[in-house]
Amino acid sequence: MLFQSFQFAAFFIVVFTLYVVLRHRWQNRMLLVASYIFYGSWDWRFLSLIAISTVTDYLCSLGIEASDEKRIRKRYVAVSVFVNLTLLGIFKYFDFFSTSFHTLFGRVGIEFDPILINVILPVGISFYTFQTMSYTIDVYRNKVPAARNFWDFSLYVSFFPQLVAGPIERGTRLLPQILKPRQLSWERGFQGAYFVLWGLFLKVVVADNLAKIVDPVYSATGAYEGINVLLATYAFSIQIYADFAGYSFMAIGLAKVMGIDLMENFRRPYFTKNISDFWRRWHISLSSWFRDYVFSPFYLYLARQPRLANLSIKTRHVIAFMVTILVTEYLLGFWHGAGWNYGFFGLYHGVLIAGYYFIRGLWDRMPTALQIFLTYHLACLGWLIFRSPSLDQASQMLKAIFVNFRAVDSSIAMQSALTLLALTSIPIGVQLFQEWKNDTLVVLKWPRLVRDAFFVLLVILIVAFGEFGGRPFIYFQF
Amino acid sequence: MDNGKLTSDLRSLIEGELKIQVTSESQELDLDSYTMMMVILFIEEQSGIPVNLDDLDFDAFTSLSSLTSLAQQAA
Repeated sequence: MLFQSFQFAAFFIVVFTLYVVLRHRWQNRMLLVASYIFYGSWDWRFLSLIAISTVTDYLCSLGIEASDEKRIRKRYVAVSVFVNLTLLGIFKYFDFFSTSFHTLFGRVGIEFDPILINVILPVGISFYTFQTMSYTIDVYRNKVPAARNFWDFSLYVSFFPQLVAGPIERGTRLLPQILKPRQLSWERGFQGAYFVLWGLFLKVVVADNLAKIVDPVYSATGAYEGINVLLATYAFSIQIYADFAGYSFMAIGLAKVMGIDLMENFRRPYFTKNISDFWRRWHISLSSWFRDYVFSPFYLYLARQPRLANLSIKTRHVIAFMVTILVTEYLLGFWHGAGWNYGFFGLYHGVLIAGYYFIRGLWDRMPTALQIFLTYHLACLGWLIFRSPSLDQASQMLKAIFVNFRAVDSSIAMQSALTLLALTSIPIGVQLFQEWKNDTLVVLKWPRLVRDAFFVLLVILIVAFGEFGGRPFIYFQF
Repeated sequence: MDNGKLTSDLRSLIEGELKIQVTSESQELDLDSYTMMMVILFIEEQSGIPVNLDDLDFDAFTSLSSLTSLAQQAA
């Protein structure tokens, strides 16, 4: 059940109508049932995975809270991490690593049949397993009390607007909103409706139309023309933003209508001045997750190593930071998918971040426009690696930009360029305003006539150019 | 640990790293993870006590005063 489908619209109308008439406790029960129906509409069998994750973290968090002994509390965290990563490992990575080991051993002459489980990836598994793990770790860190009510906790894990593609919500933020009665208001409803409309526009008009430029180029094999690769990569950089940010805006909007605030997931990432800042504004809920649960503990572990004790604080910091950022970004890349290109994508960003801090003095002195231009193009190179089915194809496509730039038929490139320009003009224009005022909701503060005209324009564009063919969101595959 | 000196040292460290002027303890700071971890290491060095990972809340460390509080907790 995709957000942009009529089926979902009907589903949400029923859910919201019931939500308005029910009291808090029954709102939560109804939302839980609705969330399971929503998730079950993809494949009801995978509901068991959410149930396993939910029961595990519910019991582990209670176990942590019941004990004062650090050793026992840590054991519960270990159980939670083990169960969630096992689910992820089996359903997302097993076949990939099995095939990779088969290839590796084959190269040294050891042959065997790889064990494959050939299971389809359960939608959203990377999101809800990370969400529940973070909750249990936060209970361990005394940041959030363990939820007593199993059904309310189940809703925290499975809340349908953000279940399948985030934002990955922390227990500290979402759980209290579930436990307390929520306020509905026209103002929140209006803001929520705007987020849904803007997200829908980004998805069905911008992202899904840009896919028509991206897909033919990236699915071709060999004989790439540089100009088309370049345009397709520019198009993909906007497509993946519009697709994922579009989903996030819709999730935030749907939750807001119901009186729940989800965290901001994208803050105009292509207006950033360096790649470190890019990751603070792209998929914020994931990058902050890695910062809090992987980067920080690993950094402190390294920086406190007795072997480094004799070094100056600055040297110790630089060594610990560089190693940690490379490892963290590599894992973050792998989070996206079971493929070496994803790991390389992460490593590439790790190297860029590390490199930025080496030359920060020089980089920060460049004109702002040049910093933004270079950061965007470095991000685009990452997207080329990310979107390519293999590292080999990525290198061929990159090579084409430098050695085979011209197209045999320039009319295709011209059409792609014009389409790209037309589809990106509104998102870029709106984001320029948002960036200028540093306000995501700046549109709602425009004079009423201008604002309403803008909404009408969005609706017209959605009806006229929206792709409602049921193309899933890109991040569903993660 | 002398709080006045610690605040002053932290201010110098942040100003040096971010190339900004910190005019008040409540001034909102946009700390990236590089600077943040450097600050934490600095606090550990000054206090001689490891900062408890459970006390870290990156989203809350947005000013010099919140960082000084972290240092006081560590001590």
